[in-house]
Amino acid sequence: MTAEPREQASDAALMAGIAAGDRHAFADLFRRRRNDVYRVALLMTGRPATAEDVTQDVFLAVMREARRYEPGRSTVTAWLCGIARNQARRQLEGENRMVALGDGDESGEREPASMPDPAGELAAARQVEALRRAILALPIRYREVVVLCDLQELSYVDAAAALDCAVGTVRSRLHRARNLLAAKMRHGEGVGTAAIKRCLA
Amino acid sequence: MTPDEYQQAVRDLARSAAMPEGVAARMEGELQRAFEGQGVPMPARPRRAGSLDPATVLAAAAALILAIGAGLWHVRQRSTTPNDVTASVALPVPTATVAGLKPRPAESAAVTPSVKPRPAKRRPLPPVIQPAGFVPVPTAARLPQFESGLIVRVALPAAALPSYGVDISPAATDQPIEADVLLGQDGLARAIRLVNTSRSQQ
Repeated sequence: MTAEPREQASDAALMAGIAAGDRHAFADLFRRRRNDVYRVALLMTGRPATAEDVTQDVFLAVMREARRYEPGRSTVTAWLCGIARNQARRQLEGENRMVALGDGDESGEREPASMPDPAGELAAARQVEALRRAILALPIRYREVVVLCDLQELSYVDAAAALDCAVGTVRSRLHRARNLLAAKMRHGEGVGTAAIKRCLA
Repeated sequence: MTPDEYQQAVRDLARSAAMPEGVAARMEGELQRAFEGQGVPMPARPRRAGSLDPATVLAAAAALILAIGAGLWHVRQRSTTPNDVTASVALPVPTATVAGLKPRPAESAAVTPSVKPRPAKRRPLPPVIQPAGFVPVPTAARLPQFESGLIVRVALPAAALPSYGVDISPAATDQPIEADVLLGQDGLARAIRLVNTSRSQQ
Protein backbone atom coordinates (compact mmCIF):
# COMPACT_ATOMS: atom_id res chain seq x y z
CA MET A 1 0.00 0.00 0.00
CA THR A 2 1.46 3.35 -0.96
CA ALA A 3 0.96 6.33 1.25
CA GLU A 4 -0.89 9.28 -0.19
CA PRO A 5 1.47 12.20 -0.82
CA ARG A 6 0.88 14.59 2.00
CA GLU A 7 0.46 17.67 -0.14
CA GLN A 8 -2.45 15.89 -1.84
CA ALA A 9 -3.87 14.47 1.34
CA SER A 10 -7.27 15.74 2.30
CA ASP A 11 -7.71 17.74 5.47
CA ALA A 12 -9.57 14.78 6.95
CA ALA A 13 -6.63 12.49 6.19
CA LEU A 14 -4.29 14.96 7.88
CA MET A 15 -6.57 15.00 10.91
CA ALA A 16 -6.41 11.22 11.05
CA GLY A 17 -2.64 11.44 10.85
CA ILE A 18 -2.55 13.96 13.68
CA ALA A 19 -4.73 11.71 15.80
CA ALA A 20 -2.19 8.96 15.17
CA GLY A 21 0.66 11.21 16.28
CA ASP A 22 2.05 12.20 12.88
CA ARG A 23 3.80 15.52 13.41
CA HIS A 24 4.28 16.07 9.68
CA ALA A 25 0.53 15.88 9.21
CA PHE A 26 0.17 18.46 11.93
CA ALA A 27 2.68 20.77 10.25
CA ASP A 28 0.92 20.39 6.91
CA LEU A 29 -2.48 21.15 8.36
CA PHE A 30 -1.10 24.18 10.16
CA ARG A 31 0.46 25.56 6.97
CA ARG A 32 -2.68 24.86 4.98
CA ARG A 33 -5.24 26.26 7.41
CA ARG A 34 -3.44 28.79 9.59
CA ASN A 35 -4.68 31.74 7.54
CA ASP A 36 -8.29 30.53 7.70
CA VAL A 37 -8.11 30.34 11.47
CA TYR A 38 -6.18 33.59 11.85
CA ARG A 39 -8.60 35.45 9.58
CA VAL A 40 -11.62 34.39 11.60
CA ALA A 41 -9.88 35.34 14.83
CA LEU A 42 -8.62 38.66 13.51
CA LEU A 43 -11.92 39.77 12.03
CA MET A 44 -13.82 38.72 15.11
CA THR A 45 -11.51 40.35 17.64
CA GLY A 46 -9.95 43.16 15.62
CA ARG A 47 -6.60 42.62 17.30
CA PRO A 48 -3.64 40.87 15.65
CA ALA A 49 -2.13 39.90 19.01
CA THR A 50 -5.37 38.29 20.17
CA ALA A 51 -5.76 36.62 16.79
CA GLU A 52 -2.32 35.05 17.20
CA ASP A 53 -3.24 33.76 20.64
CA VAL A 54 -6.48 32.34 19.32
CA THR A 55 -4.74 30.68 16.37
CA GLN A 56 -2.22 29.04 18.65
CA ASP A 57 -4.97 27.88 20.99
CA VAL A 58 -6.90 26.40 18.07
CA PHE A 59 -3.96 24.31 16.91
CA LEU A 60 -3.20 23.24 20.46
CA ALA A 61 -6.81 22.06 20.59
CA VAL A 62 -6.26 20.19 17.30
CA MET A 63 -3.34 18.41 18.94
CA ARG A 64 -5.47 17.31 21.85
CA GLU A 65 -8.81 16.79 20.18
CA ALA A 66 -8.01 15.50 16.69
CA ARG A 67 -9.67 12.19 17.55
CA ARG A 68 -12.94 13.98 18.20
CA TYR A 69 -13.22 15.34 14.68
CA GLU A 70 -16.09 13.64 12.81
CA PRO A 71 -15.56 13.84 9.03
CA GLY A 72 -19.26 13.29 8.28
CA ARG A 73 -20.40 16.20 10.38
CA SER A 74 -18.46 19.11 8.91
CA THR A 75 -15.36 19.96 6.94
CA VAL A 76 -12.09 20.39 8.77
CA THR A 77 -12.12 24.08 7.89
CA ALA A 78 -15.54 24.50 9.44
CA TRP A 79 -14.42 22.55 12.50
CA LEU A 80 -11.35 24.75 12.89
CA CYS A 81 -13.37 27.92 12.33
CA GLY A 82 -15.83 26.76 14.97
CA ILE A 83 -13.03 26.35 17.50
CA ALA A 84 -11.58 29.72 16.48
CA ARG A 85 -14.96 31.36 16.87
CA ASN A 86 -15.41 29.88 20.35
CA GLN A 87 -11.92 30.90 21.42
CA ALA A 88 -12.38 34.39 20.03
CA ARG A 89 -15.69 34.80 21.85
CA ARG A 90 -14.08 33.61 25.04
CA GLN A 91 -11.26 36.11 24.63
CA LEU A 92 -13.71 38.93 24.02
CA GLU A 93 -15.88 37.95 26.95
CA GLY A 94 -12.87 37.42 29.20
CA GLU A 95 -11.38 40.74 28.36
CA ASN A 96 -14.82 42.29 28.78
CA ARG A 97 -14.04 45.08 26.46
CA MET A 98 -15.27 46.60 23.30
CA VAL A 99 -13.16 46.06 20.23
CA ALA A 100 -10.91 49.03 19.78
CA LEU A 101 -11.39 49.92 16.17
CA GLY A 102 -8.26 51.96 15.89
CA ASP A 103 -6.07 49.33 17.51
CA GLY A 104 -4.12 46.72 15.65
CA ASP A 105 -3.54 48.67 12.52
CA GLU A 106 -1.65 46.37 10.22
CA SER A 107 -0.77 48.97 7.67
CA GLY A 108 2.91 48.44 8.37
CA GLU A 109 2.63 44.77 7.47
CA ARG A 110 0.97 45.27 4.13
CA GLU A 111 2.93 45.21 0.96
CA PRO A 112 2.72 48.48 -0.95
CA ALA A 113 0.78 47.81 -4.11
CA SER A 114 1.46 49.29 -7.48
CA MET A 115 -1.21 51.86 -8.24
CA PRO A 116 -2.03 52.36 -11.87
CA ASP A 117 -5.16 54.19 -10.70
CA PRO A 118 -4.21 55.89 -7.43
CA ALA A 119 -7.64 57.42 -6.86
CA GLY A 120 -9.41 54.13 -7.46
CA GLU A 121 -6.92 52.19 -5.32
CA LEU A 122 -7.23 54.68 -2.52
CA ALA A 123 -11.00 54.55 -2.67
CA ALA A 124 -10.89 50.76 -2.62
CA ALA A 125 -8.57 50.80 0.36
CA ARG A 126 -10.91 53.19 2.13
CA GLN A 127 -13.82 50.89 1.40
CA VAL A 128 -11.97 47.87 2.74
CA GLU A 129 -11.09 49.76 5.90
CA ALA A 130 -14.65 50.99 6.27
CA LEU A 131 -15.90 47.45 5.82
CA ARG A 132 -13.48 46.17 8.43
CA ARG A 133 -14.67 48.76 10.92
CA ALA A 134 -18.29 48.10 10.12
CA ILE A 135 -17.85 44.35 10.65
CA LEU A 136 -16.11 44.90 13.97
CA ALA A 137 -18.94 47.20 15.05
CA LEU A 138 -21.56 44.50 14.45
CA PRO A 139 -22.98 42.61 17.42
CA ILE A 140 -20.99 39.43 17.82
CA ARG A 141 -23.73 37.05 16.61
CA TYR A 142 -23.96 38.94 13.34
CA ARG A 143 -20.24 39.52 13.07
CA GLU A 144 -19.47 35.82 13.19
CA VAL A 145 -21.84 34.86 10.37
CA VAL A 146 -20.43 37.58 8.13
CA VAL A 147 -16.90 36.44 8.87
CA LEU A 148 -17.68 32.76 8.30
CA CYS A 149 -20.02 33.04 5.30
CA ASP A 150 -18.80 36.11 3.43
CA LEU A 151 -15.12 36.38 4.28
CA GLN A 152 -14.33 32.74 4.93
CA GLU A 153 -16.80 31.60 2.27
CA LEU A 154 -18.12 28.67 4.27
CA SER A 155 -21.35 27.11 3.07
CA TYR A 156 -24.41 27.69 5.20
CA VAL A 157 -24.22 24.08 6.33
CA ASP A 158 -20.60 24.40 7.39
CA ALA A 159 -21.24 27.74 9.06
CA ALA A 160 -24.12 26.17 10.96
CA ALA A 161 -21.82 23.38 12.09
CA ALA A 162 -19.17 25.88 13.16
CA LEU A 163 -21.70 27.98 15.05
CA ASP A 164 -23.60 24.98 16.38
CA CYS A 165 -26.92 26.31 15.22
CA ALA A 166 -29.52 25.61 12.53
CA VAL A 167 -28.96 26.49 8.89
CA GLY A 168 -32.03 28.69 9.00
CA THR A 169 -30.49 30.65 11.83
CA VAL A 170 -27.38 31.25 9.75
CA ARG A 171 -29.48 32.48 6.83
CA SER A 172 -31.54 34.86 8.89
CA ARG A 173 -28.57 36.23 10.81
CA LEU A 174 -26.59 36.73 7.64
CA HIS A 175 -29.48 38.59 6.04
CA ARG A 176 -29.81 40.82 9.07
CA ALA A 177 -26.04 41.28 9.29
CA ARG A 178 -25.76 42.42 5.66
CA ASN A 179 -28.52 44.94 6.21
CA LEU A 180 -26.75 46.27 9.28
CA LEU A 181 -23.49 46.44 7.37
CA ALA A 182 -25.09 48.32 4.50
CA ALA A 183 -26.55 50.82 6.93
CA LYS A 184 -23.24 51.28 8.71
CA MET A 185 -21.42 51.74 5.41
CA ARG A 186 -23.95 54.33 4.30
CA HIS A 187 -23.63 56.31 7.49
CA GLY A 188 -19.99 55.65 8.11
CA GLU A 189 -16.88 56.97 6.59
CA GLY A 190 -17.39 55.23 3.29
CA VAL A 191 -16.00 57.49 0.60
CA GLY A 192 -16.61 56.58 -3.00
CA THR A 193 -14.22 56.78 -5.88
CA ALA A 194 -15.84 59.96 -7.12
CA ALA A 195 -15.29 61.73 -3.83
CA ILE A 196 -11.65 60.69 -3.73
CA LYS A 197 -11.15 61.89 -7.27
CA ARG A 198 -12.68 65.22 -6.32
CA CYS A 199 -10.21 65.52 -3.45
CA LEU A 200 -7.25 64.71 -5.69
CA ALA A 201 -8.32 66.99 -8.48
CA MET B 1 -21.65 50.56 -1.81
CA THR B 2 -23.02 48.35 -4.55
CA PRO B 3 -23.16 44.56 -4.20
CA ASP B 4 -20.19 44.28 -6.55
CA GLU B 5 -18.20 46.78 -4.52
CA TYR B 6 -19.14 44.89 -1.38
CA GLN B 7 -17.94 41.61 -2.85
CA GLN B 8 -14.69 43.20 -3.96
CA ALA B 9 -14.15 44.79 -0.56
CA VAL B 10 -14.85 41.45 1.12
CA ARG B 11 -12.29 39.72 -1.08
CA ASP B 12 -9.70 42.42 -0.42
CA LEU B 13 -10.35 42.35 3.31
CA ALA B 14 -10.04 38.56 3.41
CA ARG B 15 -6.76 38.76 1.49
CA SER B 16 -5.35 41.39 3.82
CA ALA B 17 -6.18 39.36 6.91
CA ALA B 18 -3.46 36.75 6.40
CA MET B 19 -1.09 35.78 9.16
CA PRO B 20 2.30 37.54 8.77
CA GLU B 21 4.98 35.08 7.65
CA GLY B 22 7.27 35.77 10.61
CA VAL B 23 4.48 35.06 13.06
CA ALA B 24 3.53 31.90 11.19
CA ALA B 25 7.10 30.56 11.26
CA ARG B 26 7.54 31.24 14.96
CA MET B 27 4.19 29.74 15.84
CA GLU B 28 4.82 26.64 13.74
CA GLY B 29 8.07 26.05 15.59
CA GLU B 30 6.41 26.41 18.98
CA LEU B 31 3.55 24.14 18.02
CA GLN B 32 5.88 21.50 16.63
CA ARG B 33 7.80 21.45 19.89
CA ALA B 34 4.55 21.15 21.80
CA PHE B 35 3.41 18.34 19.52
CA GLU B 36 6.59 16.39 20.13
CA GLY B 37 6.24 16.92 23.87
CA GLN B 38 2.63 15.80 24.10
CA GLY B 39 1.76 14.12 27.38
CA VAL B 40 3.89 16.62 29.24
CA PRO B 41 2.04 19.65 30.59
CA MET B 42 2.49 22.55 28.18
CA PRO B 43 4.76 25.25 29.50
CA ALA B 44 2.97 28.54 29.78
CA ARG B 45 3.58 30.24 26.48
CA PRO B 46 4.73 33.80 26.62
CA ARG B 47 1.72 36.04 26.41
CA ARG B 48 1.73 39.64 25.54
CA ALA B 49 1.19 42.26 28.13
CA GLY B 50 -2.50 42.46 28.76
CA SER B 51 -3.24 38.82 28.11
CA LEU B 52 -2.42 37.93 31.72
CA ASP B 53 -2.54 41.15 33.60
CA PRO B 54 -1.16 41.71 37.09
CA ALA B 55 -4.67 41.67 38.56
CA THR B 56 -5.18 38.14 37.28
CA VAL B 57 -1.87 37.00 38.71
CA LEU B 58 -2.64 38.66 42.04
CA ALA B 59 -6.09 37.09 42.09
CA ALA B 60 -4.57 33.69 41.38
CA ALA B 61 -2.01 34.16 44.14
CA ALA B 62 -4.70 35.29 46.57
CA ALA B 63 -6.87 32.30 45.70
CA LEU B 64 -3.92 29.99 46.23
CA ILE B 65 -3.08 31.51 49.60
CA LEU B 66 -6.71 31.29 50.69
CA ALA B 67 -6.90 27.66 49.62
CA ILE B 68 -3.72 26.82 51.53
CA GLY B 69 -4.98 28.70 54.58
CA ALA B 70 -8.31 26.91 54.44
CA GLY B 71 -6.55 23.57 54.16
CA LEU B 72 -4.31 24.31 57.14
CA TRP B 73 -7.22 25.58 59.21
CA HIS B 74 -9.16 22.44 58.39
CA VAL B 75 -6.29 20.19 59.40
CA ARG B 76 -5.68 22.10 62.63
CA GLN B 77 -9.34 22.02 63.51
CA ARG B 78 -9.31 18.28 63.13
CA SER B 79 -6.16 17.92 65.18
CA THR B 80 -7.77 19.70 68.17
CA THR B 81 -10.87 17.55 68.32
CA PRO B 82 -11.25 14.29 70.27
CA ASN B 83 -11.82 12.48 66.98
CA ASP B 84 -8.37 13.44 65.84
CA VAL B 85 -6.76 10.06 66.44
CA THR B 86 -9.53 8.23 64.65
CA ALA B 87 -9.40 10.66 61.76
CA SER B 88 -5.67 10.36 61.45
CA VAL B 89 -5.75 6.59 61.57
CA ALA B 90 -8.44 6.58 58.93
CA LEU B 91 -6.15 8.27 56.46
CA PRO B 92 -4.59 5.95 53.90
CA VAL B 93 -1.21 4.93 55.20
CA PRO B 94 1.35 3.02 53.21
CA THR B 95 1.85 -0.54 54.47
CA ALA B 96 5.53 0.06 55.03
CA THR B 97 4.73 3.00 57.26
CA VAL B 98 2.36 0.98 59.42
CA ALA B 99 4.85 -1.81 59.81
CA GLY B 100 7.86 0.35 60.44
CA LEU B 101 6.69 3.23 62.58
CA LYS B 102 6.49 3.51 66.31
CA PRO B 103 3.99 5.94 67.78
CA ARG B 104 5.41 9.43 67.86
CA PRO B 105 6.30 10.78 71.28
CA ALA B 106 3.42 13.21 71.27
CA GLU B 107 0.92 10.47 70.53
CA SER B 108 2.38 8.22 73.24
CA ALA B 109 2.19 11.01 75.75
CA ALA B 110 -1.41 11.64 74.91
CA VAL B 111 -2.34 8.04 75.60
CA THR B 112 -0.09 7.32 78.61
CA PRO B 113 1.21 10.59 80.00
CA SER B 114 3.22 8.97 82.77
CA VAL B 115 5.31 6.82 80.47
CA LYS B 116 8.46 8.45 79.19
CA PRO B 117 8.54 7.97 75.45
CA ARG B 118 11.45 6.06 74.10
CA PRO B 119 13.62 7.91 71.67
CA ALA B 120 12.73 6.87 68.20
CA LYS B 121 15.29 4.75 66.44
CA ARG B 122 16.76 6.30 63.37
CA ARG B 123 16.06 4.12 60.41
CA PRO B 124 15.35 4.73 56.78
CA LEU B 125 11.74 5.63 56.48
CA PRO B 126 9.46 5.54 53.52
CA PRO B 127 8.70 8.79 51.73
CA VAL B 128 5.86 10.82 53.10
CA ILE B 129 4.16 10.79 49.77
CA GLN B 130 4.89 9.15 46.49
CA PRO B 131 2.75 10.58 43.73
CA ALA B 132 4.31 11.06 40.32
CA GLY B 133 3.19 13.76 37.95
CA PHE B 134 0.25 16.08 38.33
CA VAL B 135 -2.71 15.01 40.43
CA PRO B 136 -6.02 16.77 39.82
CA VAL B 137 -7.17 18.75 42.84
CA PRO B 138 -10.65 17.81 44.06
CA THR B 139 -12.14 21.19 43.23
CA ALA B 140 -10.98 21.01 39.61
CA ALA B 141 -13.90 18.77 38.67
CA ARG B 142 -16.29 21.69 39.06
CA LEU B 143 -14.18 24.11 37.03
CA PRO B 144 -14.23 24.76 33.27
CA GLN B 145 -12.01 22.59 31.14
CA PHE B 146 -8.34 23.45 31.31
CA GLU B 147 -7.16 25.28 28.21
CA SER B 148 -4.09 27.22 29.16
CA GLY B 149 -2.45 28.47 32.25
CA LEU B 150 0.72 28.58 34.23
CA ILE B 151 2.60 26.57 36.78
CA VAL B 152 3.46 28.15 40.10
CA ARG B 153 5.98 26.57 42.46
CA VAL B 154 5.04 26.86 46.10
CA ALA B 155 6.17 25.45 49.43
CA LEU B 156 3.26 23.91 51.27
CA PRO B 157 3.05 22.39 54.71
CA ALA B 158 2.48 18.67 54.22
CA ALA B 159 -0.60 19.05 56.37
CA ALA B 160 -2.23 21.07 53.61
CA LEU B 161 -1.79 18.39 51.00
CA PRO B 162 -4.91 16.35 51.81
CA SER B 163 -7.03 19.36 50.92
CA TYR B 164 -5.48 19.09 47.45
CA GLY B 165 -6.32 15.40 47.21
CA VAL B 166 -2.80 14.18 48.03
CA ASP B 167 -2.65 11.48 50.67
CA ILE B 168 0.06 11.77 53.28
CA SER B 169 1.21 9.88 56.27
CA PRO B 170 -0.54 11.23 59.38
CA ALA B 171 2.84 11.69 61.01
CA ALA B 172 4.04 14.21 58.50
CA THR B 173 2.18 17.32 59.50
CA ASP B 174 5.09 19.75 59.78
CA GLN B 175 7.04 19.00 56.66
CA PRO B 176 7.34 21.81 54.13
CA ILE B 177 6.81 20.27 50.72
CA GLU B 178 7.63 21.93 47.44
CA ALA B 179 4.94 21.55 44.87
CA ASP B 180 4.04 22.82 41.44
CA VAL B 181 0.47 24.04 41.23
CA LEU B 182 -1.10 24.19 37.80
CA LEU B 183 -3.38 27.23 37.51
CA GLY B 184 -5.93 27.36 34.73
CA GLN B 185 -6.88 30.22 32.48
CA ASP B 186 -9.09 31.57 35.29
CA GLY B 187 -6.31 31.49 37.88
CA LEU B 188 -7.80 28.59 39.80
CA ALA B 189 -5.81 25.50 40.71
CA ARG B 190 -6.37 22.45 38.51
CA ALA B 191 -3.65 20.05 39.55
CA ILE B 192 -0.70 19.68 41.86
CA ARG B 193 2.62 17.94 41.45
CA LEU B 194 5.06 17.33 44.25
CA VAL B 195 8.53 18.44 43.40
CA ASN B 196 10.56 16.66 46.04
CA THR B 197 9.17 13.24 46.88
CA SER B 198 12.30 12.08 48.63
CA ARG B 199 11.65 13.93 51.88
CA SER B 200 11.18 11.54 54.69
CA GLN B 201 9.42 11.66 57.94
CA GLN B 202 11.59 12.72 60.82
